[in-house]
Amino acid sequence: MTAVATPTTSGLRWLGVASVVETASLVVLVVNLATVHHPLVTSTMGPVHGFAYLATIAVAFLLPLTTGTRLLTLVPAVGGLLALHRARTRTAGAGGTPA
Amino acid sequence: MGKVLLSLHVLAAIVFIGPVTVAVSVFPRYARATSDHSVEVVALLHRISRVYAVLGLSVPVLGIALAAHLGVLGDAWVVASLVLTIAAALVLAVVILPAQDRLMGPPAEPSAVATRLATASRLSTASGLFSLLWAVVVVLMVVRPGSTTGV
Repeated sequence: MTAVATPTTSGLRWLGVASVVETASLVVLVVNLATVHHPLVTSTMGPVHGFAYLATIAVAFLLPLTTGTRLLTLVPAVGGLLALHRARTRTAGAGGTPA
Repeated sequence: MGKVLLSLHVLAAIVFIGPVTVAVSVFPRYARATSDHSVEVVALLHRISRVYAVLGLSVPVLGIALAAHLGVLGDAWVVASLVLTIAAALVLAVVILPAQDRLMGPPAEPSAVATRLATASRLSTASGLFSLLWAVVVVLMVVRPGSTTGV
């Protein structure tokens, strides 16, 4: 563990994967709801979205991020992507060292 | 769909929660050790604890989906299981993982050894509590007191 509180690139990649799944699965759910409304899609993507939402929050709290960035992940639907954007701009702004 | 959800729920519990239970219970023993080898073991156990803890979130999510599918989400045994699961998750996220974080890296100077051993001891207790909570949830899942479903 380094003393500098900067999330690693691989850590942010995990946050990215969870965030994209969080938003994409919700898009699939809403599109399904508005169009064919197939119950199989709902019962498959529902748990996927729920897991991705919780995983995004958990990953954000395990990474060395600021409290504000962590709390952003609580925002439904796009919280993970907002937090990811904030983490990346903060890291770049603070002169973060590329891996 | 219910059988698929149940299979995934049980599979996720075995594959994801199992490693966390083992890793957090073995961690304190290696955190007390002082060899170079133990530093690497501690790092690996911490990594397993963290990664599988996140993956383990799929277990309650699949469980809630299954309970909703079966129409038993409001049943006492499901609600009790959820409360105990949240308690276990809090023990892991608030007590165990931060304490593991403090025990990472090589042992500090001799004056810090007592603190280190105290943290490791608290970690043993928390790990036992985590395992106990999960065991009670599993028993609730099998016995399902008050339930009439035959699934």
